[in-house]
Amino acid sequence: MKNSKQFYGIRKKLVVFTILAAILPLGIMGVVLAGSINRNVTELNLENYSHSNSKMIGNYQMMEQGFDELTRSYITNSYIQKSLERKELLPQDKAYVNRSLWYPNNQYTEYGIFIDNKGNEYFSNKVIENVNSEDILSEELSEALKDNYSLTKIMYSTINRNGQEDSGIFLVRNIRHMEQNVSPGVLIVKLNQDFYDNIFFDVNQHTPAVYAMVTMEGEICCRTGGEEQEEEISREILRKAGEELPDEAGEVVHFAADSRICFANTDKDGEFIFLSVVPESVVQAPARNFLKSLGLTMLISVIVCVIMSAFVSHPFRKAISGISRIMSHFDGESLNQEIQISTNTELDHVAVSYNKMLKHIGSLMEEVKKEQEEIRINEYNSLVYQINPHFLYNTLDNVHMLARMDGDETMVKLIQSLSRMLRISISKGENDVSLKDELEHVKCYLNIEQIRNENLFQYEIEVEESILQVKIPKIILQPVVENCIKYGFADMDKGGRIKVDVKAADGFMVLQVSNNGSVMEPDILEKLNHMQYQGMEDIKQAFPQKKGGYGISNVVCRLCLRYGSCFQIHYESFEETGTVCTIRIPMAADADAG
Amino acid sequence: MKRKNIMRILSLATAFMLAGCGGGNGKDTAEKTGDSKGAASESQAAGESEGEVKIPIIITTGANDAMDIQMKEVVEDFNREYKGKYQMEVEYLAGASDDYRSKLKMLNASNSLPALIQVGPEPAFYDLLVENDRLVDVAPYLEADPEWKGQLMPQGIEAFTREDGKMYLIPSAGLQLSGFYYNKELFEQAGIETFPETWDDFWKACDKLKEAGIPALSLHTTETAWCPMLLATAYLGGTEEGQKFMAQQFPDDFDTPEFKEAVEVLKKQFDYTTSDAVGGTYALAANNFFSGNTAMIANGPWMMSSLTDPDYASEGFADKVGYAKYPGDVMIGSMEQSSWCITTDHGQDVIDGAVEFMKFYTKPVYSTKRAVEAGELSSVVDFPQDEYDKMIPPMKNCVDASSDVSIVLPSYQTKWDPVSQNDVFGREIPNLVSGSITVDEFIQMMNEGAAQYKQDIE
Repeated sequence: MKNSKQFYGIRKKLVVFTILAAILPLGIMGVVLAGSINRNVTELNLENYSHSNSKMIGNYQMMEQGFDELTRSYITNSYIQKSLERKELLPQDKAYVNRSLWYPNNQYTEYGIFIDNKGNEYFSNKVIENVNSEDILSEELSEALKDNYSLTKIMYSTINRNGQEDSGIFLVRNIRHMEQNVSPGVLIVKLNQDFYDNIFFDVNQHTPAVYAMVTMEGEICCRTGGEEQEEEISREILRKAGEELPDEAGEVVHFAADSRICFANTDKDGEFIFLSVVPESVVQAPARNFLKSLGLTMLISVIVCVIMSAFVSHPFRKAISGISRIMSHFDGESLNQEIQISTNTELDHVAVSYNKMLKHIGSLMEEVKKEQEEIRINEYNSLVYQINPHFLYNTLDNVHMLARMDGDETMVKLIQSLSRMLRISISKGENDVSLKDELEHVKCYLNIEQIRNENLFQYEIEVEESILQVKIPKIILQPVVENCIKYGFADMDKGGRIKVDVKAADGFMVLQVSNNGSVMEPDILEKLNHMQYQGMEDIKQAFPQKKGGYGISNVVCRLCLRYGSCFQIHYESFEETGTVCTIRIPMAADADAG
Repeated sequence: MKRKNIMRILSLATAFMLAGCGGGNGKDTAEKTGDSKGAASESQAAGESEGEVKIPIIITTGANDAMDIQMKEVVEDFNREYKGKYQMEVEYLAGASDDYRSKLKMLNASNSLPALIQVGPEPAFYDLLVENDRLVDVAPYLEADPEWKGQLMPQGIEAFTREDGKMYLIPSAGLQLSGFYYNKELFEQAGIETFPETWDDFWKACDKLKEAGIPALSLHTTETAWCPMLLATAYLGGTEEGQKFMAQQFPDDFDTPEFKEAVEVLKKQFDYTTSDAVGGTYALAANNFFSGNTAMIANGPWMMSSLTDPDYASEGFADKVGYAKYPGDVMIGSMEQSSWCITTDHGQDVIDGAVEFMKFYTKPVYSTKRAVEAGELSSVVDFPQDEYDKMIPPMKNCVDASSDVSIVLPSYQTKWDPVSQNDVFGREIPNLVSGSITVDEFIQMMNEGAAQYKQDIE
C-alpha cells in the first residue's frame, strides 16, 4: 500500500517507466557491446603490440638483407677472391683487400675483421690491434660457420680480442672462393649501436611497453621503452618466451607472465627473440576507458530520459491534476467549476466533455427540482382535496335532498352528475379507474354540460363490454370532450353530436371521441399531434392556461409519464367528417399497472 | 636401324665418360642435415604464404639455344599443370652459357643457388659443389620411381652413378652430338662438292675456299675457344691414343704426341679464318657464319634454332646449310652438358618440386620434341620418322650423321681443368696463333695450368 502510494501519479509512473524503457535496451545493448568491445579492443590492442614485434623483426630482416648484400659484394670482390687462392697475396693486393672492406662501409658496423684462408687479417671501420686469428672466433661463432656453406649468420657472442672479452651481436660469414674448392675465409663484423637503435625504428616507444631483442639463452642484446629505463624483464618472462616461441619465423605469440603481457617472435634462423613486454593494465586500458565512456554515455542517456520525460509530462500532469482536483472536489453543487486547460491533446476534449456534462447535470437538477416542487404541491393539494370532498359530498347530498323535496328534477340530475363526477375524479386518491368509471365520469360531465347548454348537443357512448373493467388513468376523456364543447361547438347553438367509442385492438385500448363541430385550425391541429413527441416542459408550455388545449396538455403529460412512448394521441379534423381524437393506450401495461 | 645405331654410339660415348665422372671425387659427401633443415623451414614459410612452392631456375636467352627455348616451353606447361602446387620461378639471363656459369659460381659462393642448375660443362665447379654438399643425391628419387628412371638414358644413369651409389647429375633423355655446320653455297663457289671426310680432304677444302677468297672457318679465342677447340679435339678421335687421352678426367699431362698434333691443328685453323677471330667471341664467330662470311663453324645441334631465326640469319639461310661429322667419322658430345642438378640451397619441398619438374621435363613427349627440335637424340624414345621430312636440311643431316657416326668423343669442357680452359686458352691461343709461343710452350702452359688446379684442390 505504501509502495503503491510511492508510485502514485502519472508523472512518477512515466518517469519510472521511461527509466526502465531506457535502461533495459541500453543495458542489454551495453552488456552485449561491452562484451564484444572489451574483446575486440583488447584484441586490437594485442594486435597493435604484435605489430610492434613484426616491425622489430621487419627492421631486423631488412638490416640482415642489407648485410647479406654487403657481404655478397665482398665475396664477388676480385681482391678478396684472390686472397682466398693458395698464393700469398702481394702487399699491394693486401692493401686492396683492406680498401675493398673499408670503403663499402656499413653504418651498422662497429668493426669488421676478414681473415683469409691463410690467416691474414683485414679490417673494416677500425683496425683491431693484435688479433689472434686462431682464437678470435668464439665457440658458438665457429659452430655457426661450420654448419653452413656461406650464409650470413647474425648472433650474440663474446669474442676474445687479444685476451679482452668483447660481447655483442656479431655477423659472421664464410667467404668462399667462387671457382676453387679452397677453404673459406671468415668475415666477422661487430654490429654497433645504430644497429640496436634501428631494431626499434618506428616502434612506438611512447607506450610503457618494454621492447627487447634477446638471445635464445635469455641474454638481452638491446632494449628500449618502459617508463623506467631499468624496468626489469624478469627471468620468468625470458624463460616463458623461450617456451612459447612459435615454430614459424615471424609469427607473433603473446602470453601472460609476471603480471605482464608479453609478445614474442623469432627470426628465421631462430637466433633471437624479439620481445614486447606490456603491463597487463596497459593492454586492458583502452577497453576499460571505452567501457567507462560507454557507462557514462548510458548514465547521461538515462538522465536525459528522466529530464525529458519529466519535462514532457509536465503539462499533462498539470492538466490531469487539475481535472483530478476539480472532479474529486465536485460536491454536486458547484456546477460552475469548469475545467480550463489547453494541452492540445485529447485531454482538452475530456475537459470540454466534462464542462458539457456539468451543464447537463445543472439543467437536469433544475428539472428534478421543479418536478419535486410540483410533486410536493400536488401532494399538498391532494391532502387538501382529500379533506374537502367529504364536506362537499355531504353538502351536495343535502342539496340533492332539498332539490328532491322541491321536485326539481333538473337540479337533482345536475347534483347527481356533479356528485358522481366528483367521486370518480377523486376516487380515493387513486390514479387509475376502470374504463366503466371513466366513461361514467364523462357521461356525468356531458350531462352537466347538456344542462348548462340546453339542446346544444347530443351524445352517445359505445363500448365493448369486455373491456369495461380494464383500468386506465383517470380523467382522460373528459378534457377531450370538454374541448369538443368548448371549441368545437363554440359557433353552434344546437345540433351538436359527440360520440365516444371505446374498443380493444391488437392489445391496445382505442378511445375515440368524435364531434361534428367546427374544424380545427391547422396549426392547433399540428401542435396537438406533435405534443406527445416533446419533452415534459415543452408539453406543458404548448398551450398556456386558458388559451385552449391546456386540458389536452395535461392528458398528454400524464400519458407520457405513464406509458412513455408507448401510447398515441392523434387528432383529425375535416369539414365532412368533423373532428376525431383517437387515443391508443396499451392494455397489457394497463392491466399490469392495475 | 637408326635407333640401333644411336644406341651403339651412345654406349661408346659413355664408355669415355664413365672414367671421367667416376674419378676426381672420392671424398665423403654425407649431407649436412642441419643446414638443409634450416633452409627447409625458410622455404616452407615462403611456400605457405604464397600457396605454392616456388622452384627457382635460370634460363639463358642470349645464345638462342634450342635447348633453352625447349626448356621455356616445358616450364610453361609445368606451371600450368602444377598450378597451385609448384611454380617454376624463372630468372631469364640475357647471356650465353659462359655468363650462366659465372652467375652460378657467384650464387654458390653466396649460398643462393637456384633449385635446378646445369654444371656439366664445368667439371671442376661440379666437383666443388659435390664436395661441399651443395647438390642433392637424386639416386633415391630415381630408385623410387622406375617409370622416371625408364625415361632417362641408361648409359647416363650408369655413368653418373658414383662409387658410393650417389648420383648428383640427372641424366638426360638424349645426347646432342656436335659436328660441322657448313655453307653449301660457299662450298659450291669454291668447287667443293661434298663435305670432306678425311683430314687431308678437309685441309684441301680449306685451301680451295681460301683460294676462292672465302674464310673457311668461324673461330674465336675467348670463352674457352669453343669452336676451334671442338675441331682440335675432334682430331684426337683419329687415333686410339687420342681417344684415350680425351677420356681422361682432368689430365695433368698434355705433353703427348696426340695432343701436340691437336695443338698443331688448333694453330693451323687460324690460317683459314677471319681477321677478327683472334680475341673474338663466340657470338662474333657465329655471326660470321650466319652472315655468309665464313663457310664452316663447329658447333652442336642446339644452334639449329638460330638458323631459322630472322634475328640471326636471313630467310632461306637454313636451306643452304649442311651438317656433317668431323673428318675421320668423329662427333663430340657429353651427356653432362645437358644434364641438370638439384641444389641443397632450398627446403625439401622445393627439392621435391624440382624432382617433379625433372620427371616432367624428361617425359617422352618432351624428349621426342627435343630430338626433333634440338637434335638431342635418345635411346629411350623412338625418333618420330614422320617429323623427319619436315625438318630443315642441316637437322636431317644431324640426325643422319648422329645415327651413323663411328667415334664419339666427350667434350673437352667436361674433361679438362678450369685453369687451362679459362686462363691458358684465352691468354695463350692468340700467342700461339701469332707465333709468339711455340706449340711446346703452349703445351707447357697447359701442364702448368693443370698442375695449378691440382694444387688448388688438394
